[in-house]
Amino acid sequence: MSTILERQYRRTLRWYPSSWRSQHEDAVIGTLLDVAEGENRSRPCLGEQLNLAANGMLTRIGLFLPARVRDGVATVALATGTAFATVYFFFHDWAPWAAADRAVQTGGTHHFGPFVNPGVIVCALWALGFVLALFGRYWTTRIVLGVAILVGLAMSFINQLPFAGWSGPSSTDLGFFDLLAALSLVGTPSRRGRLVIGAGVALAALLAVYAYRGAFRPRYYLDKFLWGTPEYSWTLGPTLAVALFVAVCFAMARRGTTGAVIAISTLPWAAAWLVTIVSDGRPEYLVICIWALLILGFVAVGIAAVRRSGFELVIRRRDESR
Amino acid sequence: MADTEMREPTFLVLTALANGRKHGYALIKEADELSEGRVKLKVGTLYAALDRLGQQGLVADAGEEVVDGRLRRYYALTDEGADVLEHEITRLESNAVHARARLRVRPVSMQTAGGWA
Repeated sequence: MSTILERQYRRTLRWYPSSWRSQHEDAVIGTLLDVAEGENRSRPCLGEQLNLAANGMLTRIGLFLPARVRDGVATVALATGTAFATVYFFFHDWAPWAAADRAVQTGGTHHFGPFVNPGVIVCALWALGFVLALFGRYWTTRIVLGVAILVGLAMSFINQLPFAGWSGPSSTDLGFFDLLAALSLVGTPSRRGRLVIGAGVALAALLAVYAYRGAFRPRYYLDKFLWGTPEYSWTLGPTLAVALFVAVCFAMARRGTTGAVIAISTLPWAAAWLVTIVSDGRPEYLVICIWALLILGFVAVGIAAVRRSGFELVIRRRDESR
Repeated sequence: MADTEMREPTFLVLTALANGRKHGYALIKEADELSEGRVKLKVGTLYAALDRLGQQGLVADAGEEVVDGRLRRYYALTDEGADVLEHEITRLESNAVHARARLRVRPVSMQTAGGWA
């Protein structure tokens, strides 16, 4: 029985990179078997397997992204996502100060209870994740944000169906939320003070942008407002370039962790920016070049990351595998 | 370490190692006992914490043995780990003293349900 159980555990430990397994696998298997024996189990339990899979993936990510960078990225992403969820909820899902205009602008669409669209579910999950992180429940935060990703993907699909008919959430907003949630999963936002300050700064920045664009009026703005106008989408590009320049400056000043956190944290913004530009229908040669460069960059970094994380793709001819 | 908040599982692992070297399963049982059943460490979480503590120099490998065909690797608290644990205990004690002092002078009017009414 123990041999079967051991085999099952060894299979689960394949989530970890081979370098880690060669160093720790036997000791971990010993502990797993001790725990199973102590609980009179002859099979691995689901929670244990999920925990091993999640830690295995984090160990793989840790091979190319140090824990301090991952934690910083997770803190920035959770703070930004929570701030965006707050703004989204108040301006695009509820907007009680603009009830009359909201009724006019969303008149021909379905409503989701008292809200404009089901984006309120994603916003609620973000708020819950943020509160859980403040209470130090990081694994529960990860589960909630994982659910937020799935809900976002499902919503993108459901919104395409004829019966949906809600005004939003747009796939740009959902994709932005999902990318932020994915980045929140790579680390632990264990510096709660920084998380609160980060959320405050992100909220203030978003409100400043909304104020600059005249959103504090008794009018309702559709949920592509943040990415909406071509002028705005073209100013986001240079802002991202400045952020990347600052990241490089930090790296050159031997503050590589801060530089890496800034650079990685720009990814959801860069993706939303690219989607907005392309959906503007203006794929000029410059934009196409930027697209190509960015895609090549992401692919190169992705391949390097996958190789360093210990994954390997083995291609065998059929007759060799027999 | 001092610039990050110590999470409870980490605190319990360091506390469990304070009185001598221990292997993985013993650490899981001790964390359970020390937290009076609140913290049930999963094996993946334990080894992630041990990896991190090892990289920070707070915990070190302290030998291996094979019992009933199972490898047991022992871990021990380093001097730096003992210092960090001591620092965390002082911080928690200080917080507890302040909290207790404030509770002692809590106005009687607030001690009933809906005290502000």
